[in-house]
Amino acid sequence: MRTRHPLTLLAVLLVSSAMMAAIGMAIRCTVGREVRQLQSGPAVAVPLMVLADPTLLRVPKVTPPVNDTETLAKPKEMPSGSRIPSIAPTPEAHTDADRLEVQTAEPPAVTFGPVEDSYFDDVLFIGDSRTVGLSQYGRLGQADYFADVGLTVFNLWDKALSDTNLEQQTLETLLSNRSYGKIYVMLGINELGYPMDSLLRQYQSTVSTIQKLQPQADLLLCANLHVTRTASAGTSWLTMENLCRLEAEIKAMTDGEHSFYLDANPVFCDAEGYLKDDMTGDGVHPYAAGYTLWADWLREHGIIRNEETTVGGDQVVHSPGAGL
Amino acid sequence: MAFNSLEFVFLFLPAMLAAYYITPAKVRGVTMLLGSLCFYWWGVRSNLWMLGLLLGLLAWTYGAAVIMAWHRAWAGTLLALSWMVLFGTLLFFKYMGLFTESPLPLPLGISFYTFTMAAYLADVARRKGPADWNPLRVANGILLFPKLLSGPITPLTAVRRSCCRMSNFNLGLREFIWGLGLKLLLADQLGGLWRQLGNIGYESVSAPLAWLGLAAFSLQLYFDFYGYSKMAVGVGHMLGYHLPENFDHPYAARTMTDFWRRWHITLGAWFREYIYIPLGGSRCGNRQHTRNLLIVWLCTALWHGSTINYLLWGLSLFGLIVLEKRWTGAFLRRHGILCRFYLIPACLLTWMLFAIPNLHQLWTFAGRLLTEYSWSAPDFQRHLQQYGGYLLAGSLLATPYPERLWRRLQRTAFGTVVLVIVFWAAAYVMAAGQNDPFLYFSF
Repeated sequence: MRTRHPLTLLAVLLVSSAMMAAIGMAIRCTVGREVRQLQSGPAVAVPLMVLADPTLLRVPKVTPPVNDTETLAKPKEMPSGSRIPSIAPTPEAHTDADRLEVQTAEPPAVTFGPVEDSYFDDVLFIGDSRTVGLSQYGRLGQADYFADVGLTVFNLWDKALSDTNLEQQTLETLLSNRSYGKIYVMLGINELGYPMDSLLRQYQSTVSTIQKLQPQADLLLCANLHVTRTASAGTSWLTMENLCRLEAEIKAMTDGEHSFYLDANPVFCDAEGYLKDDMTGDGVHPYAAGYTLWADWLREHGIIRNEETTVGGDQVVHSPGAGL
Repeated sequence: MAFNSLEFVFLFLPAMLAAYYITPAKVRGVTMLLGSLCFYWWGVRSNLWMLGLLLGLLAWTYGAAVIMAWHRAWAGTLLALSWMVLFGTLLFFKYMGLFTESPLPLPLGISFYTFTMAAYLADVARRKGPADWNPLRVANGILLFPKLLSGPITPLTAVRRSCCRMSNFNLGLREFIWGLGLKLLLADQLGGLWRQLGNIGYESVSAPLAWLGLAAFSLQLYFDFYGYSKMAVGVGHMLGYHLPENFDHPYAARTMTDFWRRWHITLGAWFREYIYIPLGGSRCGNRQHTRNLLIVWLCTALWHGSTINYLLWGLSLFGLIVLEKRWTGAFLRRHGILCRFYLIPACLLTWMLFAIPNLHQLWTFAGRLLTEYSWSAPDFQRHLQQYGGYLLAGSLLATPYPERLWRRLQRTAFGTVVLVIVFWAAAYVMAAGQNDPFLYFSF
């Protein structure tokens, strides 16, 4: 059937655009009033932006900007009682008195050291596109990977994902139906453009929920892999200050007994903490070979408890403190 | 301001069309000029010197043409001087990076408007076209915003306002939406595959994935440029201007010679008209003919980029075209199926030279194409699953058949519905990228 009037298409587009613009203005003036991303650009795009990312409307009130230098100059104090085990400790010069003190002090309850691949058989990795890359080019043991490009602490519980040994399901379903010995989490960088307080609140809430669903699992909160200097300079939110603050806050959420902080950045970064240019093609994601290095680093930094080491499920091997 | 941006589609274009049609016909040229200047200003507002450069070269072009028409004896000298100014400016900005670590950014559209200006002056000097004494007409001929940034490269005499009919407007709107869809829904999606190969690292990709990536890049490049050209032609029609088509299903060609007559048609026409034919074209001995082809392809390579891979790309095309003209062309033109086994790999491999600026990485990638083949390679299976639909759609749309079918359907109610869906799908893609405060980064 031919359209009768040559401007039928234009009329349809004008009417639909007017409707979208009206909806966009309504969102902007009501529920989206305090969402920065919805306040700029044509109103007609607002409903589409919300459709693309419904979590936009969940972000709480705008808080003071994250590049507040005074706030950044005073990192949050560590909660009392928290104990962060060191990872990849730097060799230091010891005096005889120091050595004596070390010999007589009690060994730490938990250390990090080399483990076999079977260590990862009861591991779940949760993360964004970097974790996707790890699942593709640095798979460890029989670990499960709940990872997706663009995954954030805001949309983590809404997504249904699958993996080699996992059918498509939400994270809540997965954690309710399977039991893990260790859960690695690397999230936060996708959310750095949002107010830091809301990010951290949601991150803490995520950690609490995971611990509630998997009380037996050790939780390893991983520092986000950094980006190159060029990638960092290209945005206002992906600064080294923001990344360092995020890392400090994530570290403060761990207790050193059942939750730990891991930072693999020394494998990838230069002396100033930026991702090395020759390790990435886009300034953000390591090359495939880089994920192999990351996997090797994770193998070198498995949890080792002082008198026992858990290996893939219920089997327990007693060891004098050395790794497997 | 890109055509495929929310600001252009929902703000600038509607405002421009409204202002244009509200304005009385006699002064629409002024509205057009102001709109084009606003369009360019928006794109260069952080580097306003680019606007100054454009206006300076425009003034030079207008003045040189007028003087050539007034003093014919000076035409040759003025033409040579003008070409030195125009192409000297172009080469300066394109190749500055080779001599300094902090080069100035390349002025928007310089590769296109310098060619338009150079063509106009050459036509005036050779008396193939009149000098236009109307500065408004000259300015609109060069600055017309639909073609200013990325062509099509159009002679000034061809940029004339025709009668503004509703049928032209309707046609233009449909062309614009079609081009927008090709760019955003197909080209940008296919570009994701090639980008991922770069992120993985060429040394780690399997052979089938390397070929798949090349196919994606080849289709992405085509639909990106074809889509943009279609949008330019569509906007031109909406404003009553008839701009030439820039592509004619190049992947349906049988020889590389024919391919390059169908790809970026206006650039090829420019080189043919102003370089190839003045040098003698093909109406000379074999050696001169070969020399002429070499010069054209070297110029084409230099126009496209300043890194050595473009030189390799231009030389490879020169080699293939010379072979076709001397030996293989007649055979390929007679064999419609066998020629595909030549042309498709030739296109993929020459685009490989075009795509990878770093010679070491180019060598690495070329090596991956010839490694052990395994269709079950996990990376190939994964990316085929993710991009197979886009590749299939791209391969079909690269042939002339869907367009022939579309010509019958586009004016029906079904065609209107399809275009509305394509429009809002494209708007969604634009908005999804806009929404992300990290541009289109998604970690």
